[in-house]
Amino acid sequence: MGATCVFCGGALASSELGRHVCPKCGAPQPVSPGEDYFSLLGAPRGFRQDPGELERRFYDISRTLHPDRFAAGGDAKWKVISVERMSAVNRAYQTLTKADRLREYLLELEGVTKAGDEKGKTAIPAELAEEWFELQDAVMEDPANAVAKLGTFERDLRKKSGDLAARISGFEREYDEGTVDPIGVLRKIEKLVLDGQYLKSMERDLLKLKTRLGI
Amino acid sequence: MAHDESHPHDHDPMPESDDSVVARSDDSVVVGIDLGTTNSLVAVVEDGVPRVLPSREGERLIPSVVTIREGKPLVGYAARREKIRRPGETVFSAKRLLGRGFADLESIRGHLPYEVVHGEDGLVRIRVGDALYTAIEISAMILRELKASAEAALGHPVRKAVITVPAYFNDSQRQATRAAGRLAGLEVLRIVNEPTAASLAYGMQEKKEGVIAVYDLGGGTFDLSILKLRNGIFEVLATHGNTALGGDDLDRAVARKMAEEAKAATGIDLFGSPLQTAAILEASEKLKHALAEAESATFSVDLCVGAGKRFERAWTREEFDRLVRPLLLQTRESCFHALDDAGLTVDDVTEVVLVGGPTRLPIVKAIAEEIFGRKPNTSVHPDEVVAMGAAIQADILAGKNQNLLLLDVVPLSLGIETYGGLMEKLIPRNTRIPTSARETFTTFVDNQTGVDVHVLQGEREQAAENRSLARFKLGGIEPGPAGFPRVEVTFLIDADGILQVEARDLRNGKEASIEVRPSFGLADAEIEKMLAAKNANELSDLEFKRWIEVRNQSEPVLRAAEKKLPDAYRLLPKPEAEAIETVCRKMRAAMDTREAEQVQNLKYELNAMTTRLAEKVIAEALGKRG
Repeated sequence: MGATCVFCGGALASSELGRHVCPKCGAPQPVSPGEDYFSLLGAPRGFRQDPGELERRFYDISRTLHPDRFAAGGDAKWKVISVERMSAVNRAYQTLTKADRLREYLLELEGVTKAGDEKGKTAIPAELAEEWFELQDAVMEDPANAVAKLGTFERDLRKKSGDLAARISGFEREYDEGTVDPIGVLRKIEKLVLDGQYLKSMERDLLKLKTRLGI
Repeated sequence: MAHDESHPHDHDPMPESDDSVVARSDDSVVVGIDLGTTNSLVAVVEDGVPRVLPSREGERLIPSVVTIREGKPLVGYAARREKIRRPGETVFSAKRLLGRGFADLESIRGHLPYEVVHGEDGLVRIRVGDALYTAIEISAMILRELKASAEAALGHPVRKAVITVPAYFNDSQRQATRAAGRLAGLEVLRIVNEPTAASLAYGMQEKKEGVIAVYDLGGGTFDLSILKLRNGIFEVLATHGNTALGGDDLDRAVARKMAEEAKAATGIDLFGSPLQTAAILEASEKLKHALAEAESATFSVDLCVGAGKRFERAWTREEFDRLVRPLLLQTRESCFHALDDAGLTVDDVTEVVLVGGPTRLPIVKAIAEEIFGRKPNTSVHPDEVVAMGAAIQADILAGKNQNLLLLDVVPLSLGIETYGGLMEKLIPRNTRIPTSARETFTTFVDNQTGVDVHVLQGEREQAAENRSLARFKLGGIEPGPAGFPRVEVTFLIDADGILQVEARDLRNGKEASIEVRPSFGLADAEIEKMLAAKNANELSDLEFKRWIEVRNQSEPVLRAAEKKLPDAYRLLPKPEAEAIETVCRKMRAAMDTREAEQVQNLKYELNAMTTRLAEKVIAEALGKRG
């Protein structure tokens, strides 16, 4: 990397933890603009992460970088930097250990979704919307007999979600294994994630409906 | 209990040479303090082993009770004995008032023998005799007693501490605790969560790894924390709690029932006067303690204090258990919340650790067992484990223990009020700390130069239902069309779980000004003012002894030098005379602020500098005579 300590000028690359704390003088290093959640944790940029490995790295970094290690006297600047860098590492760890947060982050990092953009919404396919309204009508008219219909609808919805998740993870694998068109693959994932949103909200509505019926 | 009236430091001779004491006192000793609702303790780690330090009364616990006598605070057992004798001037459970507004106290206000008043600034104040005190000031008195006890036990001044708080304490309550520490003359290195601290002491004692649930029921608060212990890392996965549920509430439940019965039988209201309230609460506490040990006990209280007529009633443990069970079942919800947030189930928990005095009650043990489906571990001392853990954390912060590390979380979500009175969460609860979040603000009207931001903490959708932490005014925004300016605000939660806010105008990169007004606390300036108002009392006995010694040695030297300043300007080169004058002025300033060390050093400097002057003065005198 060739990066040097902002305090003593010593080389930082001589150890795995050197990025965070200078191996020579012990100073925590400010977060540089080139760093992202993956590089902070020394993890590969991709969707599939090894949780055990992430935890090991997170613990190792915490052990040397945590503000507790800079509490006893010393340079006031070091304390501030350790809080800032540790908070970035904490955010990184909490993002990379949760599949949906990781997905959202990687899409943003690669410029596929813009930071701060209103999350786009895709319309519910007309066919599915119709089924949903029919089901609600059926429940209103004859709750007792709607139960079977509700079950079918739920199974159908689950299958759709399952298929979607499988397709997403297929594209994620494609991205992780290296593809000639990573951005194209990410766009497909983004589209599927948006599709997944109406399925999720419908699942929530269904749950509410079931609770109302006492199922 | 009989107490030895003499204080330990009266017969512990001070070390002869104080140089070593001074060197040790400044940086290396950091004590751990458990500032409890009912009792407080101070502990320290020596050679890797945590140990509770005895109080000046020779006890291990210091009751968190303060009485003010002739303007002077008295803390501990001595104050607790005054609870019944002088109820209006004796304050207990002040921790329940820390960082709270008047409206928060609805549930306990009627059952306190001391008077709580609504301050103009929204802060609760406690009337003690003729004076009004904030809960911060009362807590500072307790902390000062703990500090003095530690100094007496260790034989040298103590300036740094780690103080524990309930994990579910919000930002205002944490800030208030830190302010109390500062007011007591302590540099608070860290605010640590009580269950987290307890886990440190547990982990050090038991040397076990796995997922533990710390069930911490204190005098006034309940916390449940789920931690993963591995390779010396104590990682909090989630925490939940109730800052208005504790052993106190069990006492009040008994007291309310007894007051009802007494009223029906005799027509006398046992909550009728402060004196009576103090008496019935104490009798209820006694009954609770007795039933922790025995299957049955008798509740007994003076019907009319001092008149000799008593109200007595036999209790079985079974009846007590039935009465308090609904209250204690409230802890179940916290347990499941925390497990849920940690993404775990009860089967993942490898050990349940009980912390806090009330966990001695069989009913509490039984409920913890019901919730987790396993017998809780009772190997740690429920009253002392938090202070021991605080001492271990103090040792870690002092840089003396590199093997252990605590990774904690923020207990409550943090956010801002958005248009329409809703709360937008910026940092969700159980986020690892330190952490930060950024938010960009803009203006609504043309050439607006300020934006008001309301910071909230809590889990509710409606802003008004959450705790208001502070209102910020972002000022000095460069005028522009509405919606055009962009001010980026960074909300940082530090390792104490306390919020810091910074703002930057994104168009010019300049820091935007922020005026912080804590909703339920003291602004920094107010604390500074209170600190400045403190005088010699601020020095501990030992520090004071040392100061008197230094002052007595230094004052004559300084006065002599000040007197000879005209001679200096006459007989020495100007720069040399000016240097002497500067040192004199510095030393005078250090004398005024009672900085013993600095005065001592300046005295040596002054001695060295004035040697040549003394020679010249003598030579001149001899010359005149000759």
